[in-house]
Amino acid sequence: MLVDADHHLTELYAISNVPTVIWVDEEDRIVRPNAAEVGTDTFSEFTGVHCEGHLELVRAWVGDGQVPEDASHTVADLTVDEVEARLHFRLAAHARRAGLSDVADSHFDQAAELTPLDFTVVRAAMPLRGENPFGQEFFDLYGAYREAGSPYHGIPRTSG
Amino acid sequence: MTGLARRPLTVIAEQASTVEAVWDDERPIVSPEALGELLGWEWHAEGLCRETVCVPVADRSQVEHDEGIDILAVAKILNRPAVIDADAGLLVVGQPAGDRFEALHGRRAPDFTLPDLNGSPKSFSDWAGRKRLLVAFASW
Repeated sequence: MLVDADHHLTELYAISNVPTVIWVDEEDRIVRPNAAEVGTDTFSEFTGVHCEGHLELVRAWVGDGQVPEDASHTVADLTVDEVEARLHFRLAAHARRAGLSDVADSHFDQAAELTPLDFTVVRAAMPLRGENPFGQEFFDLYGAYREAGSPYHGIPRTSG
Repeated sequence: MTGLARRPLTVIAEQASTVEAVWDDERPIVSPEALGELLGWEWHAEGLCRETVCVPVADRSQVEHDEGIDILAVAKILNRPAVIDADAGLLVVGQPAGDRFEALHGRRAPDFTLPDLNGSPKSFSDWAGRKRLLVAFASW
């Protein structure tokens, strides 16, 4: 398990929500790009996403080399605003660790203004700002996200 | 010279490093030696160089300043996005956009290095040569 406190992967792989799973083969080739998959059914009742379907796909890939059709999906690149938001988030996280809370708040705000529905920016900032990531702020974000069509940089989910 | 001030600059790139910089209003100027420490690229007669790779810079005045090297100009030439908070002395330099393009369109998984739970740096390439699931999740 690796710790990405500065969210380098969200920029490098265009990750906009978690969990996101990427399949990579022996030759460093991305076989199946960003997909919202889970390892357990802990939150299935809320998200409607179950783990077993993905685990079956992984078994088929590892055992028989079978790759699902959706693996050909091309993940949309980040926009200029989305990249900039990630940099503001990184700056804010650093400022927070350095005890510069006003600087941190300002850049968390700027990041959220640029990407108001990006969970790796807005929800990730909640616990860093003393907000409850499972509180009303989260449900407000989740509602707006669903209303906007659940925007995600990755394979569109068609079933649980 | 008027308009110049000497104070620290912290650059947050692959890691965070702090150097003494000359600030030309909101543009930080660093020494050529500091540039290598901060971004891993050095300023040579050929342009910007790292190991065996050089990026030619036709107009050297873009980068050179009386007090040193304009690090924001360097980031732009390297196609690396940047956000600066001059008052706080903080500059974030992002990943080269080409690395992400290779991941999304070229289907090549870019390497990265992050600390494990004990703080030891680990690279994705440490597991090269086998099938891998890269799982990004949060601890909330």
